[in-house]
Amino acid sequence: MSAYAVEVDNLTVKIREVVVLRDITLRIRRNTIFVLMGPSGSGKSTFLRTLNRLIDFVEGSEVRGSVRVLGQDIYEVDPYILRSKVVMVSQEPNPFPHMTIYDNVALPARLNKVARSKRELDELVRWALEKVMLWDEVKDRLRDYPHTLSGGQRQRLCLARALAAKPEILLLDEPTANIDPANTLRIEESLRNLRDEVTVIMVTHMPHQAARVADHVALLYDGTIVEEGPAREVFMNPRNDITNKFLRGVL
Amino acid sequence: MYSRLRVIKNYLALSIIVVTSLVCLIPLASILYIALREGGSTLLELGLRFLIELPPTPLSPSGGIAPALIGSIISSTLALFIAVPPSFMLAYFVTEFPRHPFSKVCELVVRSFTGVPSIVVSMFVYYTLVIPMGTQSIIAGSISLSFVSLPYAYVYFTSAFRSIPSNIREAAMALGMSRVRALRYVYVGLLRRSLTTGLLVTYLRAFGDTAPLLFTMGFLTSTVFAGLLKPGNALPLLIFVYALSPYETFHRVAWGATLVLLLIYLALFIVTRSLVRGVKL
Amino acid sequence: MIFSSKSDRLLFYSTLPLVVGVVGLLLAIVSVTLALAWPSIERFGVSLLLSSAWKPSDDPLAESYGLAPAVAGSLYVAMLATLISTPLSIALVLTVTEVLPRRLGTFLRYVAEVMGGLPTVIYGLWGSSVLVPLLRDTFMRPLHEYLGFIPLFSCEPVTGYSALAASIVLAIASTPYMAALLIEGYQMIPSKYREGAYSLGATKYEMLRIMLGILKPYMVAASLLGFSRTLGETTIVALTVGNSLKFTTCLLDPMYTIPSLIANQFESAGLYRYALPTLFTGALLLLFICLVASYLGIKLIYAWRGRVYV
Repeated sequence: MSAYAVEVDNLTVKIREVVVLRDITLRIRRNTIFVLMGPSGSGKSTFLRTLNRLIDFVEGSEVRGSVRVLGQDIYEVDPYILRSKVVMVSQEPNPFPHMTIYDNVALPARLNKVARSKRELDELVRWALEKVMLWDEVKDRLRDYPHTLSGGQRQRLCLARALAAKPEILLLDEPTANIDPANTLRIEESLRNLRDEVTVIMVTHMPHQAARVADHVALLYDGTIVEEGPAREVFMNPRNDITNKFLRGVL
Repeated sequence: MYSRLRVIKNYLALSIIVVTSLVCLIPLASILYIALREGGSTLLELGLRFLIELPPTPLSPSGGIAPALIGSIISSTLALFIAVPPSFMLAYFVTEFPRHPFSKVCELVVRSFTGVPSIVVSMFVYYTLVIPMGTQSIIAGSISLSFVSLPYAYVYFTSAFRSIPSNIREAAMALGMSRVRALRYVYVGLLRRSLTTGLLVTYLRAFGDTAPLLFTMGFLTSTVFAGLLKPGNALPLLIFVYALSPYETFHRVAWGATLVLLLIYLALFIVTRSLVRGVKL
Repeated sequence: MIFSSKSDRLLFYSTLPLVVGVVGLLLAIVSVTLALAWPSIERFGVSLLLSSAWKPSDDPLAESYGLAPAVAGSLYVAMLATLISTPLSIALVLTVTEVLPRRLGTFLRYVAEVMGGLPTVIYGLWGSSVLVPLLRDTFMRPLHEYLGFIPLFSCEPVTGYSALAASIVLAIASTPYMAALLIEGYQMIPSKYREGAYSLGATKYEMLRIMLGILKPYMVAASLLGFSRTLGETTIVALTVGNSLKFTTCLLDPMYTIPSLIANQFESAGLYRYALPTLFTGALLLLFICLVASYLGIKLIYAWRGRVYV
């Protein structure tokens, strides 16, 4: 049992001959909140998508180097099984529009056989919605459809759906980029409550968000890791000038 | 800038365009009117018996279309069962793995299939199925119909699958669903209206098609249903044969059958169109 | 390509036989038709395309067949029908998408869709009993009277069943199909070109001409597909073309097309040695031309799509 959730060595990712990630080496511990920050276009989303092999679907993508997740090389396992343990929430809320709120949250749990009976499933759905602080808002309309929810509520719904799948690692791709401030804070609060259950790997371009949420951070700039370490250290004493610029909002 | 001439030309041209298109659509009105007039008299004479009785002999005063009606319903349903599963699976494979060489071959071949004249399909089935079997049959007609319907069902299903928004796909994949699981639990639910419409459209098409049945179905008039492996009849086939014949009785039956076919077609068409209201995204 | 997941491999292996099956079916149709046509090709050779005889006989040596009238008739009817329906469908598309207000345009589109899916046998019956007599008296007789010096109209229309009649009914039946194709293509054109035309001060009519210019390759493709479809049409043609074996170039005379020839002669053809193979030769020709035309049409559409989205 590896102590690390993710071990990346010399990872280089090219998309249509353009180098997006350059020789990345990184260790992410279990049960922490790891935030990868950086300016737009630095390759953060690509990194996440490499971890769960969604990059396989990108035309012209090339992955070199070693990526081990939960102790296993990700190219030696069934990608669908990998993705059921390493679940991702996208930037744009995407609840399944033709399924009720309850069914949306319950679906991955049903498929991955996380709950064994209807009662267990009900409890799981309630737990997931409570974790994202959506339960009180929707408990009377679980049979409604997602389009009746606001954007922020939909994103929290997607987060609940991911949680209900009981993953080992939760990937979040700029989860609050399109969300209003109130919902943003709620989502961040829910993340802090998740440390015991999952390893959270989040990507953001907002340094303040990283500061609020992270245990560990890394700064990705132009495809390379420019700085990394415990959050407090990096924010108080950035070693790199680029980090400095980023934190000050200049980049 | 806007000289008088230019403005006049504009209005003139637009008027011509509109009038021309109305000319295209007038035939429908004529068809409906004539069918009601000619077929209506036949139907009024016999009432519902028209649908239950056997076709007449040339000298008898009237008859019905029962074997043709039953034959059409059965053969279209069979054709649906034969053509839909393969075209569904092929369409899914091609949209999930668009760059695989098999997908490229499939797209090319199936789409070219729409260019095969249906009478040639009929001749093919005649030689490969009817002759070995020793008889024309409903099953031969159904298979012939399914060969002709398959490419169209495929085209329909591929455009349905391609309309799945990419963020829904990503959501499904990011939650660890396999392609097959995603199809079953997410895509089918999302597309249930278009898929149902696709089924109805395929059925409708098979119901009204004549050429595939010409040498394969037979022309049953002695009883309503003789079995799947025996000859049968179909509404369009009956109309075609009777229209070509010289007998007055047959012509009257053909018009009555035309009215029935027209009504069935319009009814199914309206049902199909009213289903195309999508899922709220 | 390696399918890294068991589930994907399963999907591939279950779809594989279907792909093979479909390809096999197409090949089978082509080869069976060829095989069955061969005896006739071997015996008559090129004269099949030149002769207009149709002499069945119990003595195989006395049999003589020719496909010339059918081939000529097929080409006549298909080309004329496509020539008529192309401008009509263009007008229809423009009316429905641009010229008329939204609601009316959608309603007309609905009507066109109904017409597009209407069983062809209904068109055929209506055409033969209603339109043909009407055409004969109001259109074909005057045509023969005044323009009879042109070889195309030099024969007297007795019954009205002719290549012209068949083409007109076919055109009415296939215009909605072509219009639907064209609407699809038209809606693929990015709106920026439309806005560009207007912002240069074009009137509606002038903007439409520009859009048509962009659509031109697509229109050619649609015509090809329409041509292929009318070539293979059986029911409408069999009911309106007159079914005569006489070789003629006059549009007002009854003729044959390959599908209507097959439809009429197939049953009795089995009795004679070379009749059926001759019909299969006709089918082979039909198959070949239709496949080539629709293949070209589809390829053209793909190429056009690639250019328009740049």
